[in-house]
Amino acid sequence: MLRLEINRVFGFLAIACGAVLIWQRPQATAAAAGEPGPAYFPMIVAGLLILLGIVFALVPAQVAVKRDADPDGDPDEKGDGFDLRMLVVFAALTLAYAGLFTTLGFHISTALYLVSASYLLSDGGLRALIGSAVFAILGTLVFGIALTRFFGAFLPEASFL
Amino acid sequence: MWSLFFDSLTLLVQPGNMAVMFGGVLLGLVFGSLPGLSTTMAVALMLPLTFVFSSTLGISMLVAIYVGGISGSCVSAILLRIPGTAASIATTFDGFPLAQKGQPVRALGTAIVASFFGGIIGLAILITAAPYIARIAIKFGPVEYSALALMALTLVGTLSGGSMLKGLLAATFGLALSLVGIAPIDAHPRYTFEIQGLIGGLAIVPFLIGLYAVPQLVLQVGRRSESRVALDLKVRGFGVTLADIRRNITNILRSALIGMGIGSLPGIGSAAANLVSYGVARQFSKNPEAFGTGTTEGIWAPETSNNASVAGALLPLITLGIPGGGVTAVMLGGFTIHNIQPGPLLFRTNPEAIAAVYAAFLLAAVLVLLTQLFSIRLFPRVLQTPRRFLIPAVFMITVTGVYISDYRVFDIFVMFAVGCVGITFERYRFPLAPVVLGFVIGPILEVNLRRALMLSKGDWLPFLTKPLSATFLLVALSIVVFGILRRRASSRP
Repeated sequence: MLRLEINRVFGFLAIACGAVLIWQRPQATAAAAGEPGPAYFPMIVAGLLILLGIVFALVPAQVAVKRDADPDGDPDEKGDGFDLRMLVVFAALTLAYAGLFTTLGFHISTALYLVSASYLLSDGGLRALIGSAVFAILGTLVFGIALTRFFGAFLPEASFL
Repeated sequence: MWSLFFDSLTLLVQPGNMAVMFGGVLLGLVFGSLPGLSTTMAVALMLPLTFVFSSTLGISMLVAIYVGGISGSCVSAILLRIPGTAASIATTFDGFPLAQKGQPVRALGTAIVASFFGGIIGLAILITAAPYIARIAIKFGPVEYSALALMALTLVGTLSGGSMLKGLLAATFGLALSLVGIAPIDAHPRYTFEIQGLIGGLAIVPFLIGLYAVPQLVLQVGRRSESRVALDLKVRGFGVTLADIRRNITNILRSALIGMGIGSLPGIGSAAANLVSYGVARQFSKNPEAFGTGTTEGIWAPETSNNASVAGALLPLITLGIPGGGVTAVMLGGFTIHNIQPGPLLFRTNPEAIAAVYAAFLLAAVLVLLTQLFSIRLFPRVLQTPRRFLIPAVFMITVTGVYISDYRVFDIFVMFAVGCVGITFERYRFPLAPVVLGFVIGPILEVNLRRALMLSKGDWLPFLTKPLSATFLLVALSIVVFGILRRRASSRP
């Protein structure tokens, strides 16, 4: 039953995406005579999305039967043995790393990220913390040097230094 | 041509020249395997260096980087499910599951040998049939390009496994995402929602990494227990048997032809070639249900195809002077630096340069094979790295790689947003390949469709009256019909 509803949700999402494409279509006219203009192709894609969305929303039963016939999927998918709290904390940490990447610079942000992410995934304790710190310092230095010296990449420096 | 080819080969195997070629191959392998570092970037970085070399050696080094880059992208695709370049997207489908089953050497070995075969078959076609293929390629106008793009999209949408409806919806969703940014032809911004970062559109690197790597990494983070892969490293050579090659000989030849054909069309390239050949291999396979679970058939096809597409991409560059993509565009700059003007007259004015490209291609393919043979047991050990070190390191590489691909922090957030889409799609078993192909092919389809309609003054009839276009559309239709019939037949008790 839940699967059936999910297929229907995807159908409505596709219709909504198509509607957004139509609603936000560019208003500019074609640059040359006979040229269909920048809204032409998006309208085709929108039409396809709406059509497929309707099909998906109206005829979900066949798909649903197939999905229900496969109840022994990946245990992770069913939520068994899955640590959602760890995932949320880790995601927040990684997003913070991305957000502070240019402000703190590559070296500081990466070292802080690696030490905290590595420690978070460990069993805890002082030994794990030392291991994480060593890994963070070495990882940051080796990767940073390789990228800048050998591959000519430019990495952000701390904006406050 | 053959005597010039062997002369060039003799020159390139001199110790000093060989060292330069080896350096080029190594650089290509590293740039190809690291997400964010592209082969185009490697060729562009080394371009000024070719000033100090003779024209033969300079051009040969660029070819070596190109071949190395395409071959190297399979390593991260197989071990980490991160396609180093778009050329290895389809390699993740079966390469990663096979590595997770404890057979990374076999997966890598198959990819390496397939790459070698793809390169050699592509080169053989390039040498023998370059002028003839160029004559066909030049007949491709906007109508043919649009029809071909539509066929590729239908093929991948229909054949990528699971529900056909889901595949088509995923492909259309990819097309929708490709619309964000500046519209082609008239450069009108659209679907940017007044977000400055979206004006340039969604970049391919964060898109690929977000779709493939992020869902896998999230799954690894969320697991309560650490799942160690029991590695089978006691494999002889590449872990590829003659029986395996014999079983896949049709698959190899077919994929090489697909790679060569699609690669020779400017603008489409290896990203489409590997996905299309994977879809076709699945269609013709005796065990299509094994695809996606770690079958070597699913590695032979994309890896043969993407290396053959390198030879394909060189074809319009050499014969017509038209670069088919980013790497060949930079290589055209390299040719110009050395006062070589690619095009139809090159065969008469400077056949030595063409022979040098062919010889460099062959040598680079052999060097890639040898280099990877010695490192094949080294890379899989990555899978034995404890989770607490591997996951943060991979996240660090992806974040930094995405940043340096365009120097925009915005792209990192795009990667995470696309990652959420990837997680949802995987959770509800929507195939990811059609999303990527829709995204890659969308701009090609749009620009050619609009050009075709402009030329025909809005008339759709040329799509049916032009033989090549009509053939492609007929194939697309047959694929859908065949897919429906096959599914109906398999669902019968």
